[in-house]
Amino acid sequence: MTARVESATAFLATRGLDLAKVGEIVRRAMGEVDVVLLTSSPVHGLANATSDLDTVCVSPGAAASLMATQMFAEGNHLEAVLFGTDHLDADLADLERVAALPLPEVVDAVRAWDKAHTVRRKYLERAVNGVSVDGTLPYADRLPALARAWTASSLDTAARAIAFASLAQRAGERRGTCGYAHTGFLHLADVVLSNHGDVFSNRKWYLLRWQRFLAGAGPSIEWKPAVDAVEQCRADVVAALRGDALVDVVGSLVEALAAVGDALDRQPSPPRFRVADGVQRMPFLPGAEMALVGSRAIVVDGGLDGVDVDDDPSTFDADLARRCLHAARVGAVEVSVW
Amino acid sequence: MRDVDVLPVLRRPLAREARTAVEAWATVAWLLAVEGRALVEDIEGGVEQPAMQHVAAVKLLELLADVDARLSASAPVAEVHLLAVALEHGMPAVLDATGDELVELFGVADGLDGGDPGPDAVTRLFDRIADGFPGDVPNPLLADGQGPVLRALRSWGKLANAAAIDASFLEPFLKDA
Repeated sequence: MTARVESATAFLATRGLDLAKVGEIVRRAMGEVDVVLLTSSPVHGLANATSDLDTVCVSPGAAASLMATQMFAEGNHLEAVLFGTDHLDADLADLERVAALPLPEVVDAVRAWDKAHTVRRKYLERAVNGVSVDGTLPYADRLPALARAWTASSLDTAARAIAFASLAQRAGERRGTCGYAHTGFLHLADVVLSNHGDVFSNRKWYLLRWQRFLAGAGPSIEWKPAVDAVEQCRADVVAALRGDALVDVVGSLVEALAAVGDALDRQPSPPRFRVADGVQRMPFLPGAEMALVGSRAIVVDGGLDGVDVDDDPSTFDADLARRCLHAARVGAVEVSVW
Repeated sequence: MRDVDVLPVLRRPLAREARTAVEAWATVAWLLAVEGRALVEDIEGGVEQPAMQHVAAVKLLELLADVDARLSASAPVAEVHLLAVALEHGMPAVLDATGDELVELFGVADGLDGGDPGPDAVTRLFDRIADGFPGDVPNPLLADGQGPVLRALRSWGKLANAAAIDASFLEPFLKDA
């Protein structure tokens, strides 16, 4: 954890600042708050010339910020949000509760988090990783819970992207398959990183953090097969994007997902596609139906018959895969991977 | 690589129902001003971080796919589908380019392979889209950029009233402002 403080201090020095000075600037704009946390790329050792200085302030009895406060000082752009101590403490305690749930329930709880909590996911992660302007990490003891929650969430995203990659491949979508494969690879990498305690929400850093991880201490012995499989995925996604028809990018993703599941001791289930709850299926013309999804409507050539099957999407015929994929993209079909 | 046409949608004389048009155009302007400009800043700042530049460029491609759906009078697909839909079907309202051209323009393969993700081409393309967009897209990342952002939000609130639509779609913008 001292690495976080060292990263933050070293970066601030390049901006003519130190932690104490950041505290002064923020308190000038936000008032006498109890805690000022420097967060995001500077504390992860990833900040660059245009990085902003994002802060989270915590104070007893404070109402949560409706808007982030923007500050410009000595050529630097700073941002601050404020949370009440009670709210943050309550939400961090709930994070511990959520992290102790079985993995599929963790996924659901993280997905629904922002609607039920004062401190949104983005700020929860920033607070836990945040370096206080007094040089401490007051919420770092929550990192294991945060790591488990973020691991579960990225694993879910990866598994769903891989299910869609398989469907797109069956539907004959060469480039669409690559798009899902790219998403699947990045989230598999983030599963590994989060599980190793390197938790950072913003997807733009996933690949750089992955490279840093591979070049650094690397994985533990039990994670080595998963890490090798995920890195093989990256190479295969690149080959597929370049039009190499021989590379089995979906097979590579499925293998990496299984290896990651082994390391976590929890495999996602084979994907199952279902017509989403509340979708109204209406006849349109012979051979076509209209699906009413909330206030939206789509025409599905061939209709939605047959998409409610438990079969592996790699066994779908091209027509079923196309209809299922089309309906999934507009929200008429859902995929479950647990 | 040819210079692809930007915002072909603007040349099609299509009037839309006021209720959907106000929300779609205001949302797109907001996405370009806030999320688009932030991604461009990331790309420009990542001179020594090509891996970050790559993912930021892919995120910009996804943002433009979301914009494309809104300018096509449609709801955007969920995030997990954005890149796949863009690469497979293009984004005809925003860019006149095939999926393979998008892979090249945004350095999708090269960036993932540890090579040069072509950051200059990506930021130039975004500038052409922002310049071609109707009106001056504000820049909240500049010290004097907050005023134009707040003025735009006020204008869109008035527009929503005039079109007799619920202005609650502006609330998430305020939170991220």
